[in-house]
Amino acid sequence: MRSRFWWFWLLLVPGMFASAQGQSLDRILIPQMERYENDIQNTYREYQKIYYEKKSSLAELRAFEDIISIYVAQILEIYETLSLSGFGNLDRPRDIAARALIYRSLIYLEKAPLNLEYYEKACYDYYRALAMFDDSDAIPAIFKKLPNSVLVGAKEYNRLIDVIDFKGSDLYAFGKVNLYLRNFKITTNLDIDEMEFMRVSSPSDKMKYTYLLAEDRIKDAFKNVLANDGRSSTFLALPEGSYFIKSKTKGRTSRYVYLSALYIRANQQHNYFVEPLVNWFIMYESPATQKPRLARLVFGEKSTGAGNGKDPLYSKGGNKDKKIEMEKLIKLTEVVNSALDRVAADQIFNIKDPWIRNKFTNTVAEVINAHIHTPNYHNCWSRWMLSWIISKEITSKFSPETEVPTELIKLVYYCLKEI
Amino acid sequence: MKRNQKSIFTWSLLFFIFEALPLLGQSANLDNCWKSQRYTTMLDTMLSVMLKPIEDVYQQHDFIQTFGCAYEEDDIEQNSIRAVYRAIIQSIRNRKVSLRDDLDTILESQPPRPDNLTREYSMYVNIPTQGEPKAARYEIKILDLEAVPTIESEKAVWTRIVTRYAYKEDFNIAPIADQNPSEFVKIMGEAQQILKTLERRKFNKLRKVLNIDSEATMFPQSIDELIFGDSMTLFDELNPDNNYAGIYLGKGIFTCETPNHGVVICKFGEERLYQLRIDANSFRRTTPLYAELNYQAPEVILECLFLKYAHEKPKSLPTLGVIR
Repeated sequence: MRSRFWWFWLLLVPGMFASAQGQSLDRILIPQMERYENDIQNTYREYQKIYYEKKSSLAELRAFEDIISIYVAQILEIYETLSLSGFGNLDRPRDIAARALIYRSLIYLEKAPLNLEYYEKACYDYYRALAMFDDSDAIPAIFKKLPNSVLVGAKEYNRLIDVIDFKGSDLYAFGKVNLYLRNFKITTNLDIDEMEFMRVSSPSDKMKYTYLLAEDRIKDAFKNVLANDGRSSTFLALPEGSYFIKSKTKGRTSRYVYLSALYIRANQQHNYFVEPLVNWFIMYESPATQKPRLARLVFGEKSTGAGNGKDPLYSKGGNKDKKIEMEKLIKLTEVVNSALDRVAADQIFNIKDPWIRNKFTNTVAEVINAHIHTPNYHNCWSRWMLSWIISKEITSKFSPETEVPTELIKLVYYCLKEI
Repeated sequence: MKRNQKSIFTWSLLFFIFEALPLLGQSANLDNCWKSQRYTTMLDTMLSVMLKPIEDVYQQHDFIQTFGCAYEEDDIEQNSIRAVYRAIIQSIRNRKVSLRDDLDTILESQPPRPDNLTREYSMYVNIPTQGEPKAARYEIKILDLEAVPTIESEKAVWTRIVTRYAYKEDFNIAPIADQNPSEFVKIMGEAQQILKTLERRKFNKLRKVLNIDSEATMFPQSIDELIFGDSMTLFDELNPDNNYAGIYLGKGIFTCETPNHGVVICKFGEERLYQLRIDANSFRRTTPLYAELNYQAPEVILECLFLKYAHEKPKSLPTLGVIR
């Protein structure tokens, strides 16, 4: 009996200790992150003041950038510690880390007109912040209400997406490229130091933005590939255009550059696989586009097949097509109605009245339906960003001059996911 | 001055011999992807070695002869393993029995190489009977295993093996064996014809040969599951109701019809140069044989087909407007 008692305590005490340690980690580190975030916000405010002062010097601005970078590094380090320690709910630390990166991105954007390289730097932070919410349905921090409002110019903002919308249009000129290197072997013929990353430019091309950081990131990914079982990955922020990697000394014909060509559209995400091919390598995009399942909702699981067929989803004109269009809208309205149950509907305008609610769901269905017919639907780089674009349009139709409600963004996101 | 010119000429000649000449050998002959001054194709090599008859001594002892080849890897040992694997699987198919052991593990643990003497293997197979399948010991002898440079790869390997049941009583109850020397070579020949047709950009012919309009036997879920001959649907970015067919070749390279540029050979992502998008839900497999025999189009040929018409491609994506 006594030995059982000791066994019980032997098992319980380390468990309690570990749990207490986890809690104390949470109690110490998260407030620490919040303090750093507060400091970042203050630094951002000071930076704006100094930037617009007549006597401000580049050295001063640089000092502020360094300070903010130290805070960001600390926050990211704590976030990494918490994720590695198996800390339960990472939502709060992830939001803080994402916000910290966005603040630094905003600082870079502030200075970018003086130094064009800063647009590129801002983009890397912006992409990194958004990537924290990949593979998750959690709403990115950028759309959430800030713990403390932020003063930009003369206006106070409660969400970072509104600040980005006001200040960050240059970010939309870049495209994000995720590079996944795979299947490389020790026998693969690679001359990493001789690689050169270049842009296809035309004489009329006056590019405002730089892509100076890309080459080193590509080379690093190639250097890591053999150390990581033939796989490695990285991401790049590139201004719209066509790019290629060429070898300085291999003496290959100009056609070889087509194998390593990247085609970038602004404000899109591209996933490229990089694999060895004969004595060089090939970079090809992963086709992530999927036509909406809406066709299947309307027409059942009927395959459209490969070939020159017409897809009933996109049919236009004619009585039959009008009927299909109506059916599609009815289905979409059903999707919107069921998605409304998943969000705090009372925070989206004033839709308590059944008539207004009905009008609202119809508007949402119509705007989403209109977007399905545009290239935006296939090209937009993240479902959340597309939800933001559609929500802005719905707001302008339904309640102009008001802020886009966060719950509306969520609603549109759920609808897009469903179709 | 003349002396200077002479030395420049000598240096240029030396550069050509030591630097440029080896590269000419490596790079594809873009006029005809299947032609090389130095090598023949794997298919031609196989067709000539497959004329070799089985020796009387083996025939008298119930052995059957099968062949295998491989060119996919950049390594002779890996290609040897693949070639022997294909030859053994062919003999298993001919005998209408199934494997009981893990053939991959057996070959990987004692890899067959052209220069070593691991030439005999033994494993177990299941002979189908009226009731429970019967386990039978199976003997494999590698008679030939040669590395032979071909157009497909300088490290290609072919093999000739003979196989039989270790015990006569198993032979007596087993189904009568076929004498097919190599189904893989047959498939390789068909694929070569397809790739040659593609080199002339005859898409409709390809469509018929690969049967892409018939019912699919499988729907690959991602590009990692795609193999040679799988089809897909592309749609116009601006008019999504216009669909076009595409056929996957390997290593991210595919061929498709386009609205204004005819038949093109491009890598994934380049369809957007023609204002097209691939519907990732539309992958279909109508010809399962290439998957069953694990056929992969030779990289050298894929590279050549891709580069052959590359200069005709638009240099950048069409403008669709910035999305904000």
